[in-house]
Parts: sequence; C-alpha cells; structure tokens
Amino acid sequence: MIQLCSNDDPPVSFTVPRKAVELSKTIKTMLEDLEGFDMEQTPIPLPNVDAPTLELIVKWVEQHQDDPPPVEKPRVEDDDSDDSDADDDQEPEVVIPEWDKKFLPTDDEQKNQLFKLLNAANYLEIKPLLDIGCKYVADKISGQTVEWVRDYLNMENDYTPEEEAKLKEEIAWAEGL
Amino acid sequence: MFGHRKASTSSNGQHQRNGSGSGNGHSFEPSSSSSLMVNRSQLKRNGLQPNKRPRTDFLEKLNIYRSWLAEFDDDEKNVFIRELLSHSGTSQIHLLSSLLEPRLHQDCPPNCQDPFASVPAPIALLILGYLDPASLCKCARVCRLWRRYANEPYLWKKLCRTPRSYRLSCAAAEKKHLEQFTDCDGVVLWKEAFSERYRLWRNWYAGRCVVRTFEGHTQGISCVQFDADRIVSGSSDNTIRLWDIRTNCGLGTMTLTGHSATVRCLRLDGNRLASGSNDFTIKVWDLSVNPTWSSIACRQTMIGHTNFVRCLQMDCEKIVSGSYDRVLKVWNIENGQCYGTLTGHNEAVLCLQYDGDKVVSGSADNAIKAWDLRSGQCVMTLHNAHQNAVTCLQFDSDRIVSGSLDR
Repeated sequence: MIQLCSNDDPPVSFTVPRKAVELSKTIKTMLEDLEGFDMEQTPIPLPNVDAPTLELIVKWVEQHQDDPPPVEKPRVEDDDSDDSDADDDQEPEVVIPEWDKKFLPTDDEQKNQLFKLLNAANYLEIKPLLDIGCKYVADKISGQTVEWVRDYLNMENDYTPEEEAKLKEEIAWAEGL
Repeated sequence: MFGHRKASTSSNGQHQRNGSGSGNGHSFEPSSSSSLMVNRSQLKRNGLQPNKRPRTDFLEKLNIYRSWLAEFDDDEKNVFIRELLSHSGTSQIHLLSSLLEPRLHQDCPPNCQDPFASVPAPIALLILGYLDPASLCKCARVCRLWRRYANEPYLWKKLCRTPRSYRLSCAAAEKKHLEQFTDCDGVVLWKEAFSERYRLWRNWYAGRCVVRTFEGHTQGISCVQFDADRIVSGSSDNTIRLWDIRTNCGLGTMTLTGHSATVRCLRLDGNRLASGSNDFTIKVWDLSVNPTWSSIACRQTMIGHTNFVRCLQMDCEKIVSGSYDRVLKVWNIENGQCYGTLTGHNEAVLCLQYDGDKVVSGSADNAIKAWDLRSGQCVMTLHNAHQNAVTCLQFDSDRIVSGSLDR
C-alpha cells in the first residue's frame, strides 16, 4: 500500500494499493526511481492536488486498477511532413464507460471540481482518465453556441465588436451544413 | 539604488542638475520643448538614475517610441513587447518581474484564476482535439486565448486525417490539394487546407452547386470531358464545342468542325483532345492553336475502323479505340498509324479502359475481355458477364466494375 498526501493544511492522506497508484505514470516512475526504499512507510506529497480531488483520483484508480494496460503507441512527431503512411494512423475513439459517466463530477456546480480533476490527471499522467474527462467536456461543448461555451468555460469575451464580426466572417465556412 | 534614494530627497525632478557638474547642463534648460521637460520627470519616475543625465538623442528616441505606441493597436503593442523582451537582458527581466508582480491579474476578469478558466494548454488542446470542425471554430470565438488554442495546426492536421470524413477521392488528390496549402518553407497550412476540403465536402453532400447552362449545339450531346478550365462536348450535330468554365458566358469559346457524323466519344488531356465519331474516324485536336483557326486545330485523322467509333482512351503515345466493327485498335498518336488490332468480341465494343499493357473491354456480346497490348492477344474472357450489353467499366489492380443494359 502507498500513502498519498493532498496539498491541504494539514494534509489529508489516502492509502492506496500500489497497483492502483501505478496507473499514474508520474508516481509509477517515481516509485521505480526509488526502488529499494520502503515506500510503504513514506507518504508521497502531491503539492498540486487538494483533498476532494485526490479522493476522486483514488476512487478512479481503485476502480480501474485491473484494466488491461492501454496499448502504448510510439508518439508520432508532428513534423508537418506529408507522411502519407501515417494518414489513417488515428487514435481509437474514446468511449466513456458507464461507471466513469457516473463518476465524473458532471453537475454544473461541480465544473471547477471537474477541471481540478483534469488538472490532477494531467499532472499525475493518468492518461485514460484525462482522455475521458476531456472527451466529456468536448461532448458537452460541441454543438453549443459561442455564448454557451463562453459561459461554461467561465471565459470573458475579450474581443472588440469589430474583431468579433471579422472572426465570424473568417470562420463562416464552418457554419451550418 | 543608493544613489537613487539620495537624489530623490534632493529634488522633485524638474530642474535637476546632475552632480557631475559637467558644463553641458544647459542643453536641458527650459529652452528645450516642454514635452522634453515632462519626459525628464517621467524618466525619473520610471527609474532613470538621477545622477545619470540622459543623452539628448535618448530622449528623442523615447519620444519617437511614444508616438509609435500611440498609433499601435493592441496586437501591434503585443508584438512590440515580445520584441522588447527578446532584446532584454537579465537586468530588464528582473525589473519586469518586480514591476509586474503586484499588477499580475489586476485588470483580468474576476474569474481569471478560476481552475476552469486557466485550463493548461495540454488539456485545452486535448478537449479541442475531440471536437468537430464547427465546434472547434466556435471555440475560437470564445476568447483570444482559446482562439490561439483552436488555431493550433496539429488539431487541423488531425481533422485532415480523420478516416472517412472530409477526405478527397484518393491519396493523390489529397497530396495535390495539400501542395496548394504548403508555403515556400514547406510548412503545411493545415487549417486552411482543411477549411477548403470541408467546403468541398459540404457542398458535395448538401448537393450545393451552381447550375450554369451552356447553349450552342444544334443536336443532342453524346459525350463530354472537362478539366479545371473548360468543358469539351461532342454532339450529333457533328461538332465539338469548347466552353469556358470560368466565365459565365454561355457561348462556346471554340467550335471544332471536321467530323461528318455524330461525335460519340472524347478524351481530353491538357491541350490534346481525341474524338471518335460515327464517321468511323478518330481525330486528334490541338487546343492550343489560335481559336480563330479552328480548321487547323485537327492534327491527325485515324482511318481504319469500319463502323462507328464508340469508345477510346489515350496517353502521350497512343490511342486505344473500340468500335461497332467489333474490334479494338491501337494507334500511334504522332503519325496516326494503326499498329494493332484486338479481335475477339462478337458484337460492338462499347467500353474500354487500359492501364499499362492491360486493356479491358466490354461489348454488346455481353462479355468482358482482357487483353495484353504487347502480344495483342486476349488473355481472359468473362462470357456472359451480363445478360445484356456491357456499356461501361472501370478496373484497378484487383477488380473490374461494370455496368450493363441488363440493369
């Protein structure tokens, strides 16, 4: 078992099976680097993750600890060359499993929690969690109006009306079908 | 630092004489313009060491820069600041950091520190990567930051490579299309390339088109060919007409006369046009010839078939033709000589295609035959490929697709 500590004061600690914790590439690498030390006794501080978020992370990794490991594909460098061989080398489509759909903090009041979770998944390099979370947000955004997206993302419209009009014209090709 | 504090107690800046007592102080007397005076006090406020007298030309330059900034819009100011940053040393960066520290996020929207609003770029890009093109464009309209994310070429490259959607007909067509969107440094403008493809795709599936009518033939039209600039049509009025796709002019730009019966088949390749006719002949035309001399546009007439010429294909050396006389003929395009006759069909040859030395033909005898051009022999026959005449076909490396009057 491994202990993880949140960044709260005082820190909240969670005890997680090593197998589950290793879904985080960041922690897995760290544990490998510290091979030989008794990590069971050493809590790992996570300076970027607060307790509610860490709780979610722990819940997710425990649920998914027995998943078959994702197939690692060598990352193709984006060199802008016309490598037509790689043409159809697409990542498989991300499908959010039922359990995860219920797990993700998807209520509108939980927006910030959702994004804290994505940030943490990014920091801890838990790619499958990051993928489904981003896919969820993308599904939520797609097909919505600009105003809706802006509101959802808590973004301020920093365009001048002229810029907005120009931009609208620039991307008119993508409007409607 | 120490010098600065000492000076600020001794002066409020207006008529500061520098301590070194050099005789050049008069160049900063009130005789110089008042704007310069203001500048000096400003300079001190902005941290110029008071005991260091600014060079005259520095003040002038500073003024020039001020007038520039007054003209710059926001984007230009941002460019300017980037430019300044790239020319800054550690001392300037340190100054910037300490100046900016208390001002960070001062004028930002209240939620700018919101975990949701400050989505790190990798997460934002991951989200945008799951979006369809229309939603991606909408995200560009959300705010400047998201516009920067949404313009990321990698996202558009990914869309360009989505299997099945927004694809052009074949890899070669896509390659050619991408070349148009590659700048002189070899950088592909993925977003622009995609938007063009998307437009094509959308128009195609929405059936969106402009109908333009070209009128001029006096009898029915039996065949057409086209390229990017023009349409060529063959008609039962024995003529071939050329039409300009670019102009809305409904009048033919050129009329080729010479055949004495219906023009039944055409092939256009650059400026070379081949036509087969019910007058049993094939003609090769040079379209680069001055349109007013249309009579000499015909370069070659191939005589040999003993019935209507129904189908043909050409390359830069030869023409292969099929005729109601039941044979296919191979012609030298330069001298017009027939150097091969493929016999075997029991009825009119209605369609053909060749690729390299391989020829496939379809006939009114319901059969499809494959031929080897080197030997002139039929290498394969599909008897009763259809229950009626085979009128059209296409083949590639592993299949033949054919159409027939048997429906």
